[in-house]
Formats: sequence, C-alpha cells, structure tokens
Amino acid sequence: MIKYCFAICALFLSLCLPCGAQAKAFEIETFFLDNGLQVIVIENHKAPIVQQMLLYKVGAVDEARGKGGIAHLLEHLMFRGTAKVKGQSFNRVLEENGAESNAWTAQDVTAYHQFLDISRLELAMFLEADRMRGLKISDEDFATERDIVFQERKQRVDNNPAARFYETLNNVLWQGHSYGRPVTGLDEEILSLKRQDAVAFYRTYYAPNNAILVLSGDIDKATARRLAEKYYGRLETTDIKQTEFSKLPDFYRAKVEMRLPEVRLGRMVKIFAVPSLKMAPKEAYVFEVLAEYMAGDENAPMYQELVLRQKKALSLGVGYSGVARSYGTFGITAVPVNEADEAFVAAVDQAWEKALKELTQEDLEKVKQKILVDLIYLKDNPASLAGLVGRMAATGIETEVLENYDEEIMKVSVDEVKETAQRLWSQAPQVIGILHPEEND
Amino acid sequence: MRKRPAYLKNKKGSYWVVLALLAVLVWLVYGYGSDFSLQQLVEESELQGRRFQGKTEEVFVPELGIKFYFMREDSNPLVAVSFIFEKAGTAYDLSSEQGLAALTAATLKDGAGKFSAEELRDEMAVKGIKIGFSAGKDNFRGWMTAPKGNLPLAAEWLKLILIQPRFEGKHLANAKAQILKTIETEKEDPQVQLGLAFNREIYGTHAYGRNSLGTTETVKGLRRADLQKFVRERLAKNNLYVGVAGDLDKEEARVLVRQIFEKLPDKAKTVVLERPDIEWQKPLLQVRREGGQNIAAFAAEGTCRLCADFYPLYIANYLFGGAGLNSRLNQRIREKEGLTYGGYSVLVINDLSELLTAGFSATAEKFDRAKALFMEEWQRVGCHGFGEEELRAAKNYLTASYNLRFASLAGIAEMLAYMQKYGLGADFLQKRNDYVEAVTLEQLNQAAKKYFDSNLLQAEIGVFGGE
Repeated sequence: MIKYCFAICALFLSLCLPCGAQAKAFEIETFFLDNGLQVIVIENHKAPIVQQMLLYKVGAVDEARGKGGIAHLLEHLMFRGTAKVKGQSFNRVLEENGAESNAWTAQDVTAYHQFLDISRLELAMFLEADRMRGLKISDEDFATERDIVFQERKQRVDNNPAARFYETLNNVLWQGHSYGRPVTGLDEEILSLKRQDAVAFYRTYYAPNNAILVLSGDIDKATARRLAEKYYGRLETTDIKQTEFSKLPDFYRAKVEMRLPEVRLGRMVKIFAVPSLKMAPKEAYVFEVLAEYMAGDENAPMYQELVLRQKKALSLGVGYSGVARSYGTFGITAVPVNEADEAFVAAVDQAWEKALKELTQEDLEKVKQKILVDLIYLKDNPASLAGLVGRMAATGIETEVLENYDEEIMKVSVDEVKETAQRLWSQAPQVIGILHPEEND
Repeated sequence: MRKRPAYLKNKKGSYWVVLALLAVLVWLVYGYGSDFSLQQLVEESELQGRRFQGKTEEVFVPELGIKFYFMREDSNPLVAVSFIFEKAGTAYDLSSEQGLAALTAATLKDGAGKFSAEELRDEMAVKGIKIGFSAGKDNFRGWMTAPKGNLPLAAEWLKLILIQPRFEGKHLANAKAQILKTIETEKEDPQVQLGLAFNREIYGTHAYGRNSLGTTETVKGLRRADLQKFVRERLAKNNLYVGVAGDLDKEEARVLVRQIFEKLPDKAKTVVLERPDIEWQKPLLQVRREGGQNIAAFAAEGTCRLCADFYPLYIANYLFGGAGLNSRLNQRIREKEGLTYGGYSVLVINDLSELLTAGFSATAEKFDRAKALFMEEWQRVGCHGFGEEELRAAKNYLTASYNLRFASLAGIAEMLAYMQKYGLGADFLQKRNDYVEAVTLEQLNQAAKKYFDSNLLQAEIGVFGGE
C-alpha cells in the first residue's frame, strides 16, 4: 500500500510542480477578523525577525478643508501614550526590546510599523492594538507635537529649494481634488489645528474595520491568525464614512513656470492624472510597462535619445504611480543641459513619439522580463514586501493582484502600450512644469 | 488575646488601612504594573528561543592568497557578494585628479571586454543581475547580487568589468556630465552645503576635507587613461576584502571568489596618506544662507573600531543622540519643547580619523534655544555621564535588535566584508552581544567624560543674530 501511494504522489508531483511553480508570484495569506480588521501574512524564514505594519485607510485626503496636516499630526500623537501605556512608554519599551519603530502619513494611507525580533512580536502587537482605541492626547503634548510637525514641514519644504515647484505643480494638476494639498498641511493650517481636531479625526478613522495588519517574517500563518485574534480581535468597530473624491474633468493641459532662489539647475516635469491600479488594473499594468520601456534604464529609448544621442538632457525619468485610492499619476521628469525652454519640451515630446513608433514585440518582451526577474528581490527583505503589500491593501487593491502580477504583466501587448500612450498625451488631465534656476547677478 | 494594633481599633483606622491597600493595588495595576506587564508579555511570548542559523566561515582561496568570509543563507535562491578595495577611495585621488575614484565608480560597469555598455546592461537586467560600485573616503566598494541560476554569468561579467572595463567616450562623457550635475545640485541643499564647508574646516588641506566628487575643473580634466590607470593600480588582490552570502555552499563560494578576482593584479600601488592633524580650538563657522531653516553641525574626537573605548563610546553616542526619540538630545530639543523635527549624533570612523558628530535643524526663531539646550546636554554628559538604568536600556536595545542585521542578503554580505576589513574576526557575530554586555558603567562614564568635552567644533548655516 505504501508503495502504491508513493507512486501516486510521485505522479501528482510531476503533474503539479510545473503549474505550481508558475501559479503565484508571491504566497500571501489574507483573512478578516470578525471586527473587520484585514490581516495579511507573508512568510519569510530567513532570520527570526518580523515586520509588523498596521495601516489605516486614512490620510491627508480625508482631512476637512482648513484642517490640512491633521492626519500627519495625529500620526505623531499616536506615540504620546494611552490609558494603559502612559507618556512615552511606547517608544521606550519598544526600543529596549530592540525594535525599529516608526510611522508615515501619505495622501491615502497612514502606517505604523515595527521591525523587531520575533520574540518581541507579541509586545508590538499588544502596543499597536492598545493605541488603536486607547489614545490619550493632553493639551501639552498636542502643543509640542504641533510645533514638531511645523518644524518638520520647514525642514522638508524650506530646506529644499525645488519643493515649492513640486507643491505648485501638484496643486495645479489636481485642481479641487484633495490630492492637490500637501500631506504636511500648509504652515498656517498646522498652526491653527486644535486638540479637538486630532481627537475627532482619531475617533472617526482609527478602528479595526478601517485598518490592515501585515505580519511579514518568521511566522507561520496559523500562529499569525491566532495572535491577531488574541490582540486585535476584541477591538470595537465604528461606522466609517468613506471620503468621496471629486472627479477630474476629462481633459485639461496646464502649464506652470517658476524661477526660484537657490535653484541651480532647471527642470522639466510633466504629470498626468491617470487611472490607478484600483480604478483600472489592466491599464495600470500597461502604464507600468510603458514607463519601464521609455526610461527604465540607460538603454531605454528616451534616455538614449535625449541624454546620450542629442545630449539635451542630463537626466530623464519616467514613472507610473498607481497604488492610490483615487487617481494614479504618470510622470516624466528631465533636467536639461541648458534651458528648460519650449525647444526642450518639444525635444522631449519628439523623443516620446519616436520611441513609441519604434516599439517592437521584441522590445516589449525584454521590458517585461526585466520587470519580472526583479520580483525575486522583493522576497529578500521581509520589511520591504510588507510595505508594498500593505499599501496596496490599504488603497483597496486585492492581494490577488500582486499574486497574479507576473501573468498580468505578460499579457500587455504592443497595441495596448501604443494606444495607452497616445491617449495619455491627448486625453489625460496634465500639467507641464518648467523650473528655471536663480538668475545670477 | 493578642493586642490589636491601635490603628485597627477604631473605624477611622480601618478606613485608612483599606485606602492604603487600595492605593497599593492601584499602584500595582497602573504604575509599577503597566511596564511590568509589558515586560512579562515578552517573557511569556510563545515565539521564543529562535536563533539566526547562519554561521560565518573563513574561506581561503590559495590561487588568490586571500581569505574571505562566507555565510550560507538559502531561504531565497539568491547570492550576494560584497567587496572592498582598501586605500582606493576618494581621499587617495591626486589633487589634480580629484573625483577620479567617484567617476570610476560611476562608469566602471559601462561595458567590458567584448561587451558594450548596452549589451551588458540589457543582459544583466533581463537576468536579474545587479552590479554596482561606490567610492567612499577610504575604500572603493563594489557589490553583486544574482539569482542562483545566473551566478556563473554574473561572476564572469563582474570579472570582466574589474579587469577590462571599456570606458568608452560617450559613456565617460555622460558619467562626467552626471557628476557635474550632482556637484551643482549639491549646492541647492543647505545640509550638504554645510557638510562640505564643515569638512573643509575640520580637515583643512588634508584630502578628507575635499568634496568626494571632485571640483568642476578636476572632473572636466579627467581622461580615459586616468580611469584605466586607476583600475590597474588600485584594484588588486592585496587590498581586497570579500564577503559572500546566499544560496551556495562553501566550495561554490570559493570557486566564485576565485573566478571573479583571479585576474586582478597581485599588488595595489602604495599610496601614503597621513592622519589629518585636526585643530580642535577653532571659532564657530557660520555660512549665511536665506530661505530655509538654520542647521547646526558639531564634531568632536571619536575613537577607532578596535580601540578599547569603542564600545563605551558607542553606547554613550547611542544614549546622547543615536537612540532616536529616546536619546537625551531628542528628549530635550524635540520631545519636551518641540524646537526641531529631530537631532542626531553619530560616530564616524574612517581609516585615518575618528569623529563624534552631531546636528539638528530648526527655524531661526527656535534655533538659539535649541542650540543652548544642545550645549547643556553635551556638557551634562561630559560632567555627569549616564546612570545605571540608561546603560541597561542601551544594552537591551543593542542586544535585542541584533537579529535585524540579517534582514537582507546584500546587507549580510557587506557586513561580512567589513568584519574582515576591521579585523573583527570570523567569530564576531557570536561575540558581539558579549562585547556590548561587558561595558561597565565606569567605562561608559569614563568615555563620556573623555569625549564629550570642550573640544567641540561647530558650524551652522542660515540666518543669524537678528539679521
């Protein structure tokens, strides 16, 4: 009997291995607790370490008008103590347990993460669950953190001479859409925020049914499920009001031209508002392949044409950013050798057209191969894959999208790339930005 | 009958006893209890006792006459190699050739042997092979990662790149243009601007004081022959340190290292660079710049990697400004008063100098206050040192975070190469936590007193003195 069984198993193995190997790019387990918390488990057993990431489906886009910066300020206040873990114990205890702990706020998502030894995971889970519902915000802590985030904005924006240019471009591209406002909030907004604003924002959005827990590292799925239930299972849900995004007009083309002090080199930027991975997954893959083809590396046709052949640009980048709750963006950035003038913009446009015209099936297959072969590196560091998967889930993208990523990339055709690129130029809302260096006197 | 104590004789007395007991209970639950239970949570955690399984092995390659460190790590079919050429960094560029090491690092992989830059780049990209170089002050560094199946190809290409780089005209011109662009954009960033100015101030005319990228003039003047000479003279077997980690065994690693480095020249050209003579009593350096925050930078004397003071100073630095938000510095200038987004301190160890550096940035109206507090904290460490509790907390962090260093394969390979370069020994990873644990409060505070002294160089950029 044993022999017989073995033969069948062997048969099955030989049948299944080839398809099994191709089935999924990543093994990711996802499930929901009864209170609505989505849990994602990524196994990586290289070292006894784990990344815990708790992402809330809330960010700067959910802020009321005039309250810019409250999502980010609340993120800071989350480190200032709860009823059970007082004052700065959160940071202190995690640090004494060897954790790298931090957080970030974006337009769509706010994330808290700890990278730590697996023996300390339960501690991190307890602390993260505790501050989901139990935060205390004192007037004093509020005032101090407001000062800190104000300094943070100054450091990020004022110490970077080109930052005003990018903020303005964003503003013009998105018009009334909430993506047009900076995540940090404006100076005067930050200074006018009140403790009650933070409390209200916290009560509205911080709940298990608006969050995603990612555990990535040396943990198996069954243990992850048990611990998630133990620490997060009893947290109460709230009614979450989903923020409505305004719809952009079908088409407009705006132009921004600036000259800023301390800027030494000119820039040319084109940003297009396009469908995100969530809005149109198929189109998103096309955008990704298109960006990689145009300027993915120094062999890419636009780079070759503008930087190496014509020597009109010092650098060139093309990218698609599609992990978003609302629209995604497609962008082209270039640093001109001389002025970022009309002639330079025309040269960029011509290089785009030329590259598109010359695109062959062979080129496309090579681009796809380059994208897919790098997936192996995502499985290296448990912290990096956690970030990507978490962000995708928090913007409403199913984990299957990543699991089937390679198949979807392979399906992209030459015709799709050409059509999408044409449509982008002639139909997507877009802004062209020109930045001039400071005039020498 | 035993006599009842007086305080239980009347109702009022019992009332106080009950209250006192309640107070103890409350203290147990909320005061002492809160942290105690958190630590207990760690002790009772079910995911205990797992150790990282990787072991460092020293492998000898007779054909090269070198030993390298190797670690098997087969959870993902990848291999990483990290290598260091000592005394081939930017400080070893001739004055007239400043920027040579950096330019070579930027363009070294642009074509080798019979392969053009385009062919090599395409082939590496479709096979998932990454090769890169960088030039620090002391060392010229390189790395390679490859999927296991493409390892022989990766090794062959890396070998060619190291011995037969092409440095073709258009790629060399492009690499120069990129570096000249970076030299310009560096001027946009006040933090970098301050760093460069402070470096010149600290090191004077010593090569450590230069911009690693070179100057606009020297970069423009570099020729193909200069780069060829650099590769021939600086990248050799006798100044090479290698770390290998990944999904391969020791014998495969030995073959790999031999294949990559076998054709290198035996000896690098000897270049002598003296230790810089740092003048510690210099006035504050101020750089005027409008439109941003004010930024402060500080530098004091540090200690070398193998010196007796290393671990005590490492811990002192951690407690002063290396520990993120819990550091003394951040508690004072950020967490209590909100004067800055954050301060830092870091021990910078080069082959020929050791510095303890620190800094922060703040808007002009908060800057003076933040700086006064910085000086207070610096002096407090120097005069009074740290307490037993702080030392314990630092040791806990440093030992508990130990396993995080194994997160990425390339990171492991790099660590192995540096372990060799610094002479830490193949058993360093086993011993490292013991080194940390062995530091006594007395040693820590001796280091605090010795290094956090008045020999503190200062620089700042921004708008000052009510301008």
